[in-house]
Formats: sequence, C-alpha cells, structure tokens
Amino acid sequence: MLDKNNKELDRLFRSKLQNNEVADNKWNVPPLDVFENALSEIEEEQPKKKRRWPLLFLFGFGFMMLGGIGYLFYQNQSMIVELDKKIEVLNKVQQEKENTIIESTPKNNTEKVENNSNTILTKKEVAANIATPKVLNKKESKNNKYTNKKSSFESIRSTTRALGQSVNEPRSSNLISNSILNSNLKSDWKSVGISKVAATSTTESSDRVELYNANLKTNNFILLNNIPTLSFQIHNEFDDTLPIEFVEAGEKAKYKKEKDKTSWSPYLLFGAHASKFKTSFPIDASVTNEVGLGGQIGLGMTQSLSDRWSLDYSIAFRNMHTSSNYNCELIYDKSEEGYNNSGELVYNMDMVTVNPMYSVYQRVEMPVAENEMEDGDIMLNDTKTKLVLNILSAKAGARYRAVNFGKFDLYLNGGLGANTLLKSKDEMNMKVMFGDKVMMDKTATTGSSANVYHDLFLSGYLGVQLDYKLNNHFAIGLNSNYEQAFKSFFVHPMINQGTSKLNGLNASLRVGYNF
Amino acid sequence: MTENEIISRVLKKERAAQVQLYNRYQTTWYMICLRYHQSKEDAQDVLQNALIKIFTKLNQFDGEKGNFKSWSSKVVVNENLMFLRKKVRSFKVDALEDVLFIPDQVESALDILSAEELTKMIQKLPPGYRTVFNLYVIEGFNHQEVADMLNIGIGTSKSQLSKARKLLQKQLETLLQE
Repeated sequence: MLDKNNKELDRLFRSKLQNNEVADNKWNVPPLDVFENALSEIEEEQPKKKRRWPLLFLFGFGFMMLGGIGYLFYQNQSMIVELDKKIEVLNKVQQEKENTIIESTPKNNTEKVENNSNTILTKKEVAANIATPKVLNKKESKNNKYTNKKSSFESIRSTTRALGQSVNEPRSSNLISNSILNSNLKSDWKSVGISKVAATSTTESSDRVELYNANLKTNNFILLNNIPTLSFQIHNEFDDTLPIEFVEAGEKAKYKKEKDKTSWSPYLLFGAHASKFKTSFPIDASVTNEVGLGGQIGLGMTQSLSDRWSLDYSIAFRNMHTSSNYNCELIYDKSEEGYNNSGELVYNMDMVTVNPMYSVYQRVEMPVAENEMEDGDIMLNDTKTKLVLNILSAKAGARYRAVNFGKFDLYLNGGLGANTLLKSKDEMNMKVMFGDKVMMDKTATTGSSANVYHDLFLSGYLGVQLDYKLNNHFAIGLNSNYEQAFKSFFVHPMINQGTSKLNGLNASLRVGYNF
Repeated sequence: MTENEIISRVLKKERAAQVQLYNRYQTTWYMICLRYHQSKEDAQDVLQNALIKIFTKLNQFDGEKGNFKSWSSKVVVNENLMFLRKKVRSFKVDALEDVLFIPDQVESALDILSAEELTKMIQKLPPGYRTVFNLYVIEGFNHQEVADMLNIGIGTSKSQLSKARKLLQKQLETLLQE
C-alpha cells in the first residue's frame, strides 16, 4: 500500500514537472538578463585566455632587448681590454726598435718612420693603427688567392667605424720587426728583409717583406700593411704560392674574434601612422571605416650582421583615433509593438550593430505613435562609432643597405610584427530613421576593452629607411613602411567569420646611437 | 531547422542560433533550477552558470550518444548540485513523523495541481530532502547514484527520500483541507 502510494506520488510529480511548455503566467520563463549575463560572461572569459599570449610574447621580446643591451656593454668592455693588450704589444715593438731593419726607398719616408718611432702611442692612435688595413681594389683582388680575406677586412671596416676611425683616413707609418714577423710565421718561412715600397698611381705605399723558405730554398715577397698588429692584408707581389699559413698565424685568431663580433645600436623612435580597418561581416549591412591617424613612440635595437645586412627589433606604443559607419535596413514588424511600464506604446526589436572592434546585439525599445508604422515599413539603422585605441607593437625584421652616398645610407627593410590592444575607448551613436523622422538616437560610451574580444594579431611590413650619420656615434633615420595584417584584429564570437584587419602606413623618425 | 543544425551553428558562435537554442530549452533548464532552490534568485544564478557551461562545453556533446535535452539537463542538474554543495553543509535533517497514506481524493487533487504549485511544494522541502527527491523521482537516478552524487550513504538517500515524500504528503493534506 505504501509502495503504491509512493509510486503514485512520484508518477504524478514526474508527469507534471516534465511538461516544459511555457506557462500562461510565464512563471517558468527565466528573466532575459539571465541569458544576456551568461553570454557576456562567455565573451569576457575568452579574451582572458587569449591575452596570455601577447604578454608572453612581449615578455620574451623585452628579455631579448635587455639581453642585447647587456651584450653590447660586455662587448664594449672587451674592446677596451683588447686595446690595452695592443698598446702593450706596440710598446714592446718600440723597445725592439734597435733590432728593426728598415730600408726605405724614398728618403723622406724613412724620416717619417724614425720620427714616429720615438712617439708613445695613445689608445686612440692604437685604435687607428689596428683598424686601417688596405682594402684591395677589384683588379688586385681578382688575381689574388687571398681574396677570401676580403670579408675579414669588411668586418674590420665595421670595427673601424665602431672605433670612430674612418677607413679612408691616412695610415700612420709602421714599425716592422723581424722577430715579430718570424714569431708569426711557420717554421719553414723566415723574414729576411723588409723594405718600403713607394706609392704608385694605383697602389699606396707599403712594406715589402722578403721571405725565405729553408726547405724549398725559395724566396718570396709580400706586401704588408699595418705591421705592428699584424692586422695585415697580404698581397702577393710576385708569386701566387705564398704561404696561407702566414695569415693564419699570430694574431689571426684575435682578428677572427673581431670578425665574429656584431655591433648593436639602440635607437628611439617617434612617429605617426595612418591606418585603416578592413572590416567584413557576413551580414546584410555595410561597414565603412575611415582612415585613423595616430602617433607612436618606442625603442629598438639594430644588430649589424655585415656591412649591408642588419637585423632590426623594436617595440612601440601606438595610439590611434578612427571612426566607423554601419548601415542596415530594419523591417518593421507590428507584432513587436507593445506597451511599456509607463503605458507608452513602444516598438521592441533586436538590433545588431557592428564596428571594427565588436558587434552589439541588443533588444531596443523605441516609442511609436498609434498606427504610425505599418508591417514591412523599412527603417534605416545608421550607427557611427568613434574609436580610440592604444596598441602595443613588437617588430622584428631585416634591413639591407641598398645605397650609400656620403653620410646617407638608404635601407630596404621588411619583417614581422605582433600587435595587441592595450586599451580602447569607443563612443557609439545609434540612430534609427524612418524617412526623415528620427525614431531613436542613442549614444553609448565604453571606457575599456574589457568586453572586447581581441587577440594578438600578426602583421608583415615592407619599407625604406634613410639614415643620416650625424657623427661617428649618432645617426638619424626616416623610416616609412606599409604594414599589412595577417590576422583579424578582432573576432567577435557572436558573428561567425567576421574579420577586421588593420592595415596602414607608418612613418617614424629614429635617433640611433652606434657603439 | 533541426536541433543538430542549431547546435552546429551555436558551435560557430552564431548569436541567432544561441538564442534559438536557449528559447527551445529555457523552461526545461529553469524548471530544474527552481526545483532545487527555494529562492528564484538562487535558481537564476545557477541557471546563468549552467548556461555558461552549456555554451562553452557544447563541443563535448556527442549527438550519437544521447540527445541534447538530457545532456544539457544533466549539466544543469550538476550545476545545481555544485551550488548546493557550497551552500548547504549537510543534507541531514531531523526525523519526521510517521508515514502518511495518500487517500484517493489526494490523487485526484494532485491531478488538478499545476506544475507551478507542485514546484512550490518541492521548494518548501528542506534542501537535503528536496535534492534527493529531485534526483530520484524527477531525474530518475537510483539510490546508489544519488548517494554517489551527494556523497552520502544509500541508507541516507532512502531515508531522505522517504521523509521528502512524507512532507509532500503533509503539504497535500493541508492543501486538501483548505
């Protein structure tokens, strides 16, 4: 009996409560804001997850920049230590002066050398000495089996620039020591005589060394420049079989180290940009975006790889002001008319409004007069959104020095950028018109990007940069490039396949320091 | 549009499809929430959380293994239980009076009672009784499952169900007397 009663009770409850039709008094219909709140929470949760990536990326980028600056200072310190060592070597050379054999063809050259021999070199002079190799002209290098050394000279040229010494400046005379030469030669070869060769119309004056190979019992001659540090260039005057070992000996290792060094130059950038959103949504409406203007400020670092190629890293804060227009037609549905709590006749409708950053789906209520509107009447939704965006951009790219004229260098550059929205502010004015009559005019302002679903967007850029060297350390550059987004800036979860890409022109002034 | 089509569009984050799906099941989900809570506010809070779960975990729904209504109802029930776990420390209540028998006229009275009135009767039950009654009678779980879900013994589940029934019968009796 008890069981029967229980079963009956259960059955009755179950059958009644599993009927889910909407009740007349709507007691079982949840308020609309439950659904709306749930959706806005879903929207808020998604960007939170995505925002981790830009932060990680920016953290990594910042770390790399700091590492670069640290390396730069380390490199600078190493250079000073290196110079100290060279001063020591030169002083040693001077002490060995008595053993020096100098033969001079033109008399005045000898005097010059002798005069110099009594001079104690300063650090600056040493720097000038070690960094003034002769660069082969094309004709010379063509016939020279040591042209593979040319790249080292190009790196020495870079070093020269770093040390504040122009390649084209006249070299100081050099002291030559047989003992130093011999210590850098393989045991088979021995320096037996050094003489000066006068400058000709095509070549500069140089030191000529006569070498003797005891095994082969042959003599050879080489031309040396800048003997004291042996940062020499070898030019085979008579014979192509000169020993490669010569250049591989002695201080070659030291120069190899210098060759491997890359120079870093930090810079500040200030500029402007003109960008435009390209917005596309699969809905029957038009979105037109206006060109947005703004400024940018940032810092960067150029890593010189060779005389022509360098890498460029920068991070910049960009501010942008733009606006967007959205238009669509709305068809009047008389069944949506009703009375609000104040007893006014109102028209309720669902409206979707789009701007480059997000879409708004909302139910709006607008007062209408009795029999003012008919079924099928077409109203126009005209929405204008003003946007202020703060964007953080990190870029990494390569530069190629295409042209050099005097103090000017023209670079071609290209690379990739990663951008993220830091903050946004928008003012949206929604207007619904029926003919000339304004049915609704509403303005809403938001002050943050909290409700905007946005993502890290990648972009590519191509451009040119004109640099002007103010002095050995400072340079200013005008950079201009076109940037194309690869990925949509914003993807709103409520509108499938909508894209909004930010493309535009950037122009910036860069002030750089070369260590 | 079929339910599967709506679901696939919801997965593409189409707002219109989300609205459509919500309209189709809002009463089912809301009625579940109302049965588990005395206050409408609590029920609405839980429904909101349940909606977030349904829309964000929809990709886990496998149409071949079951229908959407039972999957989503299970999500809503779980959300209610989670809420109760946080809010209600214990499902135990004091012992009740002896069992009452449902007279024949009560059966007919039940027939004329609306779902709203029955829901209100359930809402008046203490949380523990209410939860076990809902899970066992309305959702159709057995005592073992109820015990596992609420982390109580099978005996407790049985006794709480029995006590829930007694209270409901008492309420019915009062209703009949009125």
